[in-house]
Amino acid sequence: MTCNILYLYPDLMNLYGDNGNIRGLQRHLEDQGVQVQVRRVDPEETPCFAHVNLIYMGSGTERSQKAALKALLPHTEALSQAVEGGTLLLFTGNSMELLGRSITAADGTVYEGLGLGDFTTTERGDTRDNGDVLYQADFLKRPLVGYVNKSSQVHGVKTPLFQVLHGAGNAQGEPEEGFHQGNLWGTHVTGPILLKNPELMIHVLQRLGEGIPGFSYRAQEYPNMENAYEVTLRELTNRFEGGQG
Amino acid sequence: MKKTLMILLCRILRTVGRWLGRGSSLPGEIVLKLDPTILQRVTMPKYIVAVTGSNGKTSTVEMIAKVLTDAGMKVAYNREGSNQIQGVATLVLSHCNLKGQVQADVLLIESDERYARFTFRHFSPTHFVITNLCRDQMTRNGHPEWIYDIINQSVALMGEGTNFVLNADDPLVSRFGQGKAHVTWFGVGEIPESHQPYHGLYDDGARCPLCKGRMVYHFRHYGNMGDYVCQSCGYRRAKPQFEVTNLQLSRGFLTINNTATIHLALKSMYNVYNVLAAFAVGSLLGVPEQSISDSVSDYVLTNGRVVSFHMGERHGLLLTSKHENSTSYNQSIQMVTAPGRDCTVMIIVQAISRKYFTSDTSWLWDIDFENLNVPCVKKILLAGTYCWDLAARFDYTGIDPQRIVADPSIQQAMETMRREGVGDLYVITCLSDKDKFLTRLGKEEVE
Ligand SMILES: [Zn+2]
Repeated sequence: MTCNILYLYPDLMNLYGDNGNIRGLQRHLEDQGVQVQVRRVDPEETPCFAHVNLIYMGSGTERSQKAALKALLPHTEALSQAVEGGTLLLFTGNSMELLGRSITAADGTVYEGLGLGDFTTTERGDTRDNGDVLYQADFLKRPLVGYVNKSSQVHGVKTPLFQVLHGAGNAQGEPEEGFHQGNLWGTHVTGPILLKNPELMIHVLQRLGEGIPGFSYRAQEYPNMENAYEVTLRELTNRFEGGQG
Repeated sequence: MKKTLMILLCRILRTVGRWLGRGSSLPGEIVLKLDPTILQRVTMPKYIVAVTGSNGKTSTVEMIAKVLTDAGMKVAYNREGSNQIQGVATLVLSHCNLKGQVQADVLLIESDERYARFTFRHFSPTHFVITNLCRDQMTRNGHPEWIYDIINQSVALMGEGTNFVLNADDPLVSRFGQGKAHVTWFGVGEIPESHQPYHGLYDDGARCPLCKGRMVYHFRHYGNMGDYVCQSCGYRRAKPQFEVTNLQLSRGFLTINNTATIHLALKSMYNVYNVLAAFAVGSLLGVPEQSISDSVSDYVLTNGRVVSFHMGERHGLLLTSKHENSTSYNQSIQMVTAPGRDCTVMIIVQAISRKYFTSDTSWLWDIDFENLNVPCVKKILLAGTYCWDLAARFDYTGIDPQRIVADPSIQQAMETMRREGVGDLYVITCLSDKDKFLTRLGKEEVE
């Protein structure tokens, strides 16, 4: 059993801690008996999507995101075909915004997006939505913990990934966050979201497993990760609901 | 008349504030509310030196103060570290005579990178020192480019009278020098150690800050610091006027411009940049080379970043690091492993910040904890609320789990350290958490 991961623009799109998602996935897949190949792709290269199980991109600065978009745009067709053919795509942080129709930068410049999702992004040059978040999803029993660090508003997502319990949504005051359409997964949550959320990790493993012949998920114990999740959930719940505002 | 009144008011408030043990920013805050243009009407000294950047501000400012003071100059500076406009106003006004003249040769300001734009609305520095921009407190800072844009707002307010004293080795900081009339560059030149292959969990030097093209380093000192050139647009490191031309870190000395030799009390690359920046400023303000070298040689910071303690017969060092700042942690890890002596290391993450709330531990995935996977590190204690996040991160370091103990209780982790500690003891933690360790030591244990 093998799993091929295409890691897009790891130097460019790694605001902080995003690399943990790939390290974590690799370890957890190996614990499932799967051989993992992680191919790092730089913006100058032509990505090869053939036989790829997962395409991942992390978050970047506003400038880095535009460079990532410019690099990926010529390969939209191939990317789209791969996703239709069963490849899972996970974009975290502001790389999620690339999937939409356009990004309007703070200076008014409009950048054409990959157009895989029917939504648009508008950046604000003066303020950021920086903060801890608690979300929920129908495929998770327990809340998702995370952190969002963005200066943008996303409008028009009809199929979000998460419901907002606390913290930033796609746009100010919006009760939903992220983008989920078939094999496309996008969320603004930065950092190692998979390592911080044991259930999401399992969910992604199982989804990936569907594309790996012979794979059947076996439960494994990760006590440190589980304890860390419990602590963060407790701290965030106390903070958001304990009136320490 | 009003100016005199404000100066008097500031003096009174400062005296009262000291009585009440209140911070030094309050007098400035009140005076600025009553008279928002007061700072534009006082007579500033000949030199105004401001220092900003992610790391090393305080050390650099303290060294500059020593260099200038030793050379007989009168320096007014914010040693209490209230580095926002209110603190700066208190500093300036409390050094004014009643005619509104600042009674000093140099006004020296440590300026918070996010608040410089408010300070420099009122006046411009004659020398603006920018040390480095790196991943630091992202929960409030966003990211280094966001901070770059914010500092640029204050740079835009400064005219040709400002000399920008910039770290040539930092590609992002160097952008501030583009199109400026007066720039002084400092940097560390080619030394034997600078050709070690780069390894780190992330590489912020990989892409050009201008065009995001691929960058190549001729040599590199740490992080993104070194001699770079962009393969795409040609953006490259400027030639430094003040350059470390010889550096023997393990022996603890460096030479600047082939002539000035300085002894280092703190043998770290990060300290080298602070010394170099202080040297550049001293020199620009006319202090003779020999005098600067004497002032900064063997200089030990007085701000308590490194605290000695002991537990029984074992000697310990608490290394104050910054949570949410991988560069700072990597520096501490280097200090632990450099001597190659058997040791026990405790890492505490209890409150991620003392200024704001966050539970985010993503930054742990940027720190080279892998470097603790060496034979001399015998035991690792992970303590505090977020010890499990640390433990989950350490699962990926390749360090034998038998050598690692995680404990949410700092008290109990300390008892384990007392009981099972091997060799020298080190504690790596943040300003927000260090007292949780120090106050639990016995009286006789603090040195
Ligand atoms: Zn370039």
